[in-house]
Amino acid sequence: MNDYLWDKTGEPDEDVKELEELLGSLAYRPRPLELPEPLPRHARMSHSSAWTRIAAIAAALFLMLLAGASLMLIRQRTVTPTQHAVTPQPSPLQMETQQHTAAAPKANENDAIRTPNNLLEIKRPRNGSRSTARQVALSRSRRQPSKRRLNEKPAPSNQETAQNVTPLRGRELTDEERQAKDQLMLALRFASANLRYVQEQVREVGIQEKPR
Amino acid sequence: MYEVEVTGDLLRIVSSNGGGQTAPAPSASAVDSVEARLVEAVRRDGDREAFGQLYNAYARMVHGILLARVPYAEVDDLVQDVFLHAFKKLGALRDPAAFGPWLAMITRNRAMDFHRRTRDTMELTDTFAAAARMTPQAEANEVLALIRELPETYREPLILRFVEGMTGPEIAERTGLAPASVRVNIHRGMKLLRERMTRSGAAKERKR
Repeated sequence: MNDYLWDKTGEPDEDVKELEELLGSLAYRPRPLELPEPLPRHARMSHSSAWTRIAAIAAALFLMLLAGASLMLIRQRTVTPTQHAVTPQPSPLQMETQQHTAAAPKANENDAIRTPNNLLEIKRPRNGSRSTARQVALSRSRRQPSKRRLNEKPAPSNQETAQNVTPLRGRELTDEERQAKDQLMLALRFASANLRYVQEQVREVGIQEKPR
Repeated sequence: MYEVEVTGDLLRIVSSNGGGQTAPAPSASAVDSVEARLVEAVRRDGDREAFGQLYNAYARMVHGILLARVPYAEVDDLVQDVFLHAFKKLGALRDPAAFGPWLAMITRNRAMDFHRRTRDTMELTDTFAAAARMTPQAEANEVLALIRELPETYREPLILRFVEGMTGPEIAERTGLAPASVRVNIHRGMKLLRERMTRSGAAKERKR
């Protein structure tokens, strides 16, 4: 197949040949390239600039992690003391278990198993074998279903618990907290500045490499 | 050895472009690897000679792309401007083997910048008219004006083919476009150009 127009193979059409000759007079005429004498810095800095960009991203991520960790630490510090101050109200399960314990014959204090939060107290049977929580639950289910007493105090709702926790805004910050807050703000400022720099670099590269 | 190899390859590329039909064009991957090595040399050491070789290999492409968009009288200066810009920004090129498509994109953007700059000062038609008066070949300019009236997709491959004397595969390889697209665009563009030339010739006959 004659495809002179595509790859200049075969016999050319007359009008194609004429066009080549006519328009060939407008073709590029070699001319020496004039480059500036001092070499542009960034023409040679490709690798280092790439590393700078990677380092900036890593630094930004590190600072963001640091800021997050500081924030969590501050929250923990401000909330924990007030939470300790709140006396835990007994739950219905705890009250029932306590009643069960009181009804049973008195045993040695050492026989009682205490959970870390002091929420569940399980009495050991006399034969010395340990009673598990499952066994207690089974024994409870065998009993008659107990009616909830009218004077029984219900467990505190989430709203009540929230009221008992002192809000951070209302009170004065301690020196340590203020210092931590300042550090956090500084870290956030660094992180945002780094992110802005990275964003600008990425945008610049995008403009250069993408068609407008 | 490295320098000789690179120079030899490039000379072969340039001669095949210039001579047209005699020397077979090197494969795309070979050209890519040579280009990539040259680009790396420029980026690593600021090698001016290597950049000069890239300039020799790509100046015709840049000239053709500009000619499809800006007046003839402005093209030579803009070619220099494009290469200068490319030299400064070569560090931003991610893939050294994609130098051709990257340079083609810079060229198109520079042509757009040119129109943005000149929009306030002069009308486009005046610019082209002035350019037409400045060039010696009035007939060539008429045909060039007809090509410029074609849709943008056909303009660039036709000018690279007829003005710069590049073959279809060469255009595809240098600009990074798909060979099939370039082929279709050249053929469709040629068909449209023939129609317009016939219409324009008939109009001239009528005027006489």
